[in-house]
Amino acid sequence: MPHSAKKTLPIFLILLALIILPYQFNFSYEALYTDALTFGLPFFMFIAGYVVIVNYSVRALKRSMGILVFAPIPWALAEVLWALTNNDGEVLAYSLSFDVFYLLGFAILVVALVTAYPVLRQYVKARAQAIALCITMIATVALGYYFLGYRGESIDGQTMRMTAIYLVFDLAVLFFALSYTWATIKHRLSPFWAWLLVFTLVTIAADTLYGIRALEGTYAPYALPSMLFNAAYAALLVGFLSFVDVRSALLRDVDERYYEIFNHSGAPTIMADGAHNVLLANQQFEQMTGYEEKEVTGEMKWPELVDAKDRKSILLLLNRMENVGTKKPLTRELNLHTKDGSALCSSVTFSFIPETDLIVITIFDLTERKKLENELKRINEDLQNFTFTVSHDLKEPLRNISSLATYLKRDYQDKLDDMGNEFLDMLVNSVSTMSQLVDDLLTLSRIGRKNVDFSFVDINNLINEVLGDIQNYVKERNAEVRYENLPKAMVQKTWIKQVFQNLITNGIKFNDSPQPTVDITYKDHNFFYEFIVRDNGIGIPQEYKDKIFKLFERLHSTEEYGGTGAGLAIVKKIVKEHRGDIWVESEEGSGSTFHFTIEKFFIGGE
Amino acid sequence: MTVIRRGILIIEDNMTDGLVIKRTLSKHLTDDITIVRDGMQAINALSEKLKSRPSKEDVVMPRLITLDLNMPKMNGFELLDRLREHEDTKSIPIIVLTSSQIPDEITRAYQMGVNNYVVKPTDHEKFEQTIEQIYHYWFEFSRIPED
Repeated sequence: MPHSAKKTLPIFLILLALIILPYQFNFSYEALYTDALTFGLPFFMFIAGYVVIVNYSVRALKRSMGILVFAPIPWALAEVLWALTNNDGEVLAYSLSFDVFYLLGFAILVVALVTAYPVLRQYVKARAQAIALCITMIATVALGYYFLGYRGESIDGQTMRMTAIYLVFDLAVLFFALSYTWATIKHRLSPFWAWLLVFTLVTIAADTLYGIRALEGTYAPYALPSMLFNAAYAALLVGFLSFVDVRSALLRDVDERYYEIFNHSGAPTIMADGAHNVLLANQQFEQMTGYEEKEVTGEMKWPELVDAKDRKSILLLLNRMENVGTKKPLTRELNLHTKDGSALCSSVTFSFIPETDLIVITIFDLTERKKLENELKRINEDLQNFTFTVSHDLKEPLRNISSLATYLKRDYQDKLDDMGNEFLDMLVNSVSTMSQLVDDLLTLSRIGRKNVDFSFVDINNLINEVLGDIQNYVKERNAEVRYENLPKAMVQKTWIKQVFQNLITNGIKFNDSPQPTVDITYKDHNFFYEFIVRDNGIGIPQEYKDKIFKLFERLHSTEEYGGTGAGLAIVKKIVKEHRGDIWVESEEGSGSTFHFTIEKFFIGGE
Repeated sequence: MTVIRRGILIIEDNMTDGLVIKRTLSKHLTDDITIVRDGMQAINALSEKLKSRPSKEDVVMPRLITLDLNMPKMNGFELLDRLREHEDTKSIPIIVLTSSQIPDEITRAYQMGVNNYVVKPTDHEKFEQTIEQIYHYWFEFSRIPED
């Protein structure tokens, strides 16, 4: 039995007490009370049904249930007419004036049930329908046998016909109510169908009793059949009310295929309402969290799944989004916990269904990926440490070789011939090249290794410092470096200084012009600065535009232009550490223009 | 008791580096320059000096010590501890000459009473220049305890 039935049952019992109890006391306003009740019940049934269907139903069900809601209107009207005809005290069992409206109500009910059939067909198994049909037929035969065989010859034709018509409608409703209730129990759908079954059974009893008493001429208003009719109304009223509580069941009433897409989707997904109640949860969700669907839907609020430290912030964020009225999907990394309490690092996407307060929450488990990420981070750190240690440890023997070679040359120059001295020179040069390579490797391994602080740096001053460091070289090459009005930026000062130094010296070094010039300008983009370093040097052939940023990649021999070929690799790595990008535009023989970007509001970290 | 300050002690496990330090300093100084390869040897050399004191009142100690931190047997920090504890070696200026640039080690070295922390440059030429500057700084520019 759906959990919500527990909540609607007390309402039904209270209504039943209101219907039955007053008759035990023989009070004077009996007629008025019964009239009020017989009118009030269908009336409120309509109101309740309308409110519930409008607010809580999905589109597919609105089509069928929407009609159903209108059934109580003719009933209420019929009750008024019935009460009016009874005012003169005469007991009138059947009269077309109000029976038309009673029957209209039932007709609407049957139409609604038939309309609902395509929606619910998936749930209703053939066996259930066969059993329902059997029960209905047995009831039909029993009732038919009873009434047709009633008192042999002396049949009141009018009463017989009316009773038969009522019973036909009743039996039709019984068939559907039975089938749907079966599906309800099987699939934990809306308890409405169970209440409809109660309604039908009570109505059949009342109609039968009404028919018998009318035939016998013992019918009296405000007695048993009336009470039974009221009880039936009460059951249907409660049935409508039960919709309020079974939104999740209603949501599942949507075309089964769509529900199955949801249920069998590979991503753990839940649907919740504006009050955070979980309405639906799919199989993947069950698997991931260990909760069963029935433990979650209608029982839990989704924030309960979120780790306490993330809960407040995400609720605040959603609240703010609601206030602003934005319905864009939101994705956040949140820590969830499963039923057994283990943590789930996951990426959670909140999608808002337009014109409702419903949210679809999709969860991606990042735990495995986080693990791999950490592993990768660790390996990367190891590698960096390795590079650092290796290059660091390589430096010492290199220095030793160079020391010894220098002393050899200094002390034993006379004892060696020209060839020997030349070899020593070559040895010293090789060692110094290797030493430079190791230094570059060391620099490269240091970028991003230590978390150098970001600070707000005036790039004009920074370039001024660079020019101070390389002023001899600039003077020697008769070069000119032009820059003005560069911005202030959030950077790791030492490293960005290295970037400008490498780019400026490159511009001067790879330059055949009698006066090498380097121009530094910038462009202000929304979220980043783009710095442009333009030279009038020898340029870079098209096919090497990407190659030049690779480690130890050289376009020219060491004899032509010195250097290790690590400079631009270092520059690129630094720029990447600032979440920027670097590229070059160049034509051979007409200078190169290096562009690099730096994110404006990035201050390091993840 | 008086401490007679003579000579320079180079504690350096890299023999070539020790040689460079010795050669460069001996261009300027007439001092007796001793090279030892690790902390143990340094302790032995110093206790030798304590034993073979010229008279009961006098003891001969080096004027200056250069110290490499990463050494086998007894590393620089352990040795520093011992040197700063002992009455006779307390006042000797100690210059750390090492290739380690780890900030924590630098701080720790100064905390333990090192007087100067110098990182060995990568190439020979700069290394020689650095030793020259150490000479100029400590023996011409600064005053260190004399006899």
